[in-house]
Amino acid sequence: MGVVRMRLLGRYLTVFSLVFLWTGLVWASGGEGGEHHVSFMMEAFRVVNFVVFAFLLYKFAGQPIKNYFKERIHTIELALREAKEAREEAEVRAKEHAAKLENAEVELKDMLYHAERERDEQMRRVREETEKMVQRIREQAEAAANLEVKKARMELQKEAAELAVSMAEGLIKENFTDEDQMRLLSEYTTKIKGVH
Amino acid sequence: MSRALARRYAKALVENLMEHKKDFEEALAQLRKFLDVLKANPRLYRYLSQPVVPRRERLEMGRILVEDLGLSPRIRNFVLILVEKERVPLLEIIVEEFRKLADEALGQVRGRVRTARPLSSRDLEALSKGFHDLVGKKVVLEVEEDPSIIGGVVTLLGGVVFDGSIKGNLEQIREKLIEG
Repeated sequence: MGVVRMRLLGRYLTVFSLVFLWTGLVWASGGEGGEHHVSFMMEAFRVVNFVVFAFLLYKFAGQPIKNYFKERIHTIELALREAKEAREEAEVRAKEHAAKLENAEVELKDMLYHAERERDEQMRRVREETEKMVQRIREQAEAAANLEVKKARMELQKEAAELAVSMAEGLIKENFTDEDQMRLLSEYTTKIKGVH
Repeated sequence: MSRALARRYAKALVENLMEHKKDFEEALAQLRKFLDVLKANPRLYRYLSQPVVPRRERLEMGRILVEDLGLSPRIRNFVLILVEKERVPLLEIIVEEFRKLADEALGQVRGRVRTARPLSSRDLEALSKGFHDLVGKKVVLEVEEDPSIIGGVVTLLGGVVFDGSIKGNLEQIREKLIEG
């Protein structure tokens, strides 16, 4: 509402000033064809005219103009203050951002440091695990190989034993006599008696 | 259940034989003889076992059989009771239980000797004496010829094996060779 009034007042003043200047100019140009001698009455009239104009201006537009400029000053002050505050706030934020940026750099360095340490630790662990696994696989392979050798040896022993026993059995069957049976029975009976 | 029932029949026979001082070995031999005939003749076994065959006919067939086999009167009566009471299917268990009860009654243990070649009665007696000295009871040995043991004898007595055979010795040698 105040802004509208101020605009209307501004218009009135502009129109009024233009009319006044125009009338002044017309009045002054009226004497161009005649003699250029300054008339006291004319000057007096212009002064009176100005005084009247000034009075009217003061009477009708003085207070609004005052108010207008007062408000304008206030508005400008307010704008300046707000601008100052905004600037201060912007400066604070800029500082904060700078601080954050600085912290971010520190954090980034810290993160990088920890990441590198973690990477080194992981690599060391993986290397250890791998070495252990290799060792385990080697041991298992050796054990499996030893077992296979042992099994093969046992198989050979078994085959040899089977063969030897089979041959012995065949020989005994061929050569076993009743006398041998008697002798075995006698030994058996003696052994039974000896069990006591 | 069937074993308990078989044991009751066996116990009754043992008590009857003890009461009349009869020979257990002879009774056992006769029971086994009857059992062997039934095992060799499945149709006869079924005829004497099945309740669908009239009792009179079963008894008639049983009488003919025991007379043909020449069983003693006590064993004959015992077998005919089994036929009459439809207990022939229990005969094998009855024989087994009878043997155990008879051995207990006589204070003797029974063993089985496997021999590669026939044993003379003197050898068997010597073996029995040897085991008698070992277990402190009279030992009755049943002989079975088994050429697979090659030579010597193997005795099973009271669940223990006394191996004196060539086969057993070769087996031990084979195991030692394998063990290295």
